[in-house]
Amino acid sequence: MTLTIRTIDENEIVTLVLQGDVDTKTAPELLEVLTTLKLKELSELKIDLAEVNFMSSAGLRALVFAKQKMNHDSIVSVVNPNDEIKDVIIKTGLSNALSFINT
Amino acid sequence: MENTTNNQKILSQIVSKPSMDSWDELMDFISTETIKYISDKKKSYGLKLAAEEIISNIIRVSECKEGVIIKISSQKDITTECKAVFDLVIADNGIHFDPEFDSLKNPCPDIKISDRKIGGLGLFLVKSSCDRVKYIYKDLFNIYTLSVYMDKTEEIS
Repeated sequence: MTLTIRTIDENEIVTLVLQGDVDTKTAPELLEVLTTLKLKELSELKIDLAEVNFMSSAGLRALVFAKQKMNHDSIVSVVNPNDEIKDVIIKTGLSNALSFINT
Repeated sequence: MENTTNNQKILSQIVSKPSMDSWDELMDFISTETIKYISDKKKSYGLKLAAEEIISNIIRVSECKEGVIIKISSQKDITTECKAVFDLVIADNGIHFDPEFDSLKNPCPDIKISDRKIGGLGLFLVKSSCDRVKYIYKDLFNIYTLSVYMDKTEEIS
């Protein structure tokens, strides 16, 4: 399984559109993209998961990494996650730090 | 491949090296078996998630070690008469590692993200994504059994 990541940069808001699975093999690619962003300067980071079927803890760690690198009042939004991914984010308590957006 | 052991009917099995080179092959097996035998999408996803975490741990600890193998089998548990049970059994002869599932604590949702420790998240997901998780160390193999309870009307054949 592969992961493709498309970056939409709108000044202080960056959207990463993911397609594929985010697992042990592919999460490093997401992490690599995240490290290229100026996370401190963003007001919001949107992670679009509409085309993602599966996300393991390796993917969740990448989201936590991004949130920890951003300013305290900045937002990490998870856009259109499937029910299973949303359940895992809630179950792990990360929903307190991440926002859900359904479009 | 179909065998019957004392308590389990083996439905399918794969043996490989615990290596990232084998990752796609191992995960394809997990995906195929969970989709084939579990109709409940949430349970199917949970079992795949748990298996992914276990396989990832095994590869991280044992990759490149000579002679180490990983065996994964899908099984029908025929010991439980009151319910149908589907098992994924993951075994490796790498370093002895007891995850101590019984002593794992849930992550505290009140901990601030800046203070959150990521270690242990994977094992928490293993435990919480299946109906039952067992670990034993036998004949130099770590053996993880990840189980989901099926609807009584579902037949694992």
